[in-house]
Amino acid sequence: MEQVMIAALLEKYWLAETTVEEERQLAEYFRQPVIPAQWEPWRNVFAYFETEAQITPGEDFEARLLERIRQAEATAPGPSNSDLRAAPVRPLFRRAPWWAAAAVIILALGISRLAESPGAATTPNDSVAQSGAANAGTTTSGEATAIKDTYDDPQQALAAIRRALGTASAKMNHGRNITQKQIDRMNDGLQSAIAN
Amino acid sequence: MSLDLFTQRILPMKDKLFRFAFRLLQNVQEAEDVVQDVMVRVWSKKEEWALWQSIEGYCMTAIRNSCLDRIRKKKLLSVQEERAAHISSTDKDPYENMMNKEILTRIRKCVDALPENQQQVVHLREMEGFSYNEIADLLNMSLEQVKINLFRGRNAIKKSITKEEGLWNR
Repeated sequence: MEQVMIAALLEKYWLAETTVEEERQLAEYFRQPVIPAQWEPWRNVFAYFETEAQITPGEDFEARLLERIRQAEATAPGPSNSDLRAAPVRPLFRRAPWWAAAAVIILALGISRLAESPGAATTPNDSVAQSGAANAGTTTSGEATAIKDTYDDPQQALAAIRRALGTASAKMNHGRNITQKQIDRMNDGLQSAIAN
Repeated sequence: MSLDLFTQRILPMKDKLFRFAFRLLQNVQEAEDVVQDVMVRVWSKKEEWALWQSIEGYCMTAIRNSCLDRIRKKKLLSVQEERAAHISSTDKDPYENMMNKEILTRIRKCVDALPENQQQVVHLREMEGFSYNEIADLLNMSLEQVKINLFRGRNAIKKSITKEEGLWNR
């Protein structure tokens, strides 16, 4: 029964009509020690294929290949070589541009905070106030000097404040006088224009 | 991760690739060189692996192209002794004892003398167990051509045995 099946398979085999599975069955059959004498030559055919299928490269092939890959990795540029060596350093802002924005905001907050703290930084308004105090001849006026240099005697402090306020008042009155003069001149001009 | 994938899925193909290269080049050193070159090239394209339909198909095609390129550049000589040295591991197989070494040599010479297409089809089918479809894709030929080449190759082997012994058995 088996021989009939093998004979049929062999016929298909030589016509190239067998499946891979049928060819596996044939190969298995021809591994038997005893087969009909007329089929002995075919044993050699299947044995030859099986022998050829066992050929392998040299023992050091794999080691040499992996070494070549390591060498290729060591010389190849690019960020995709993380398996064999440390990941290359990327530019900070290329990797996360929002870091830059965050840094700028933090810096801006820090600067504004410093500007708000008394005497820590000089703003344009502070400069005007301090120069105004200097012009008035008072060394104790202005926020910076008031904090640094307080008076132990309340009477001295009061006198200093009066002097400062008096000076400021005199300057303010002077400014008011100038404004009043300008307004009077405008009124005169307007009335003469209306009269004409 | 890629190296793990390489050692698990690609490196184990080295024997199959080597045999195919050896079939085409019939030189151990050259076959090893070709397989190494192809595998290094495959490694360098690891970002593309996911896009490939079949890594094995890609490797086999690359082996074939590299070998054919080498063959075109120089005329190859048959190196039967070298081959014999490399299949020495099978000498211990009791199956080997049942074989008629003279017939084996005859088969080997016959296969080596087959036209290129027949050699490749016979190798891929008989040694590696590829389906007709896989062979057709790999060798860029139709299923009918695969079958014809296999038919002719097998029958050439059959004749090489029966011609001298006066046998013609099924």
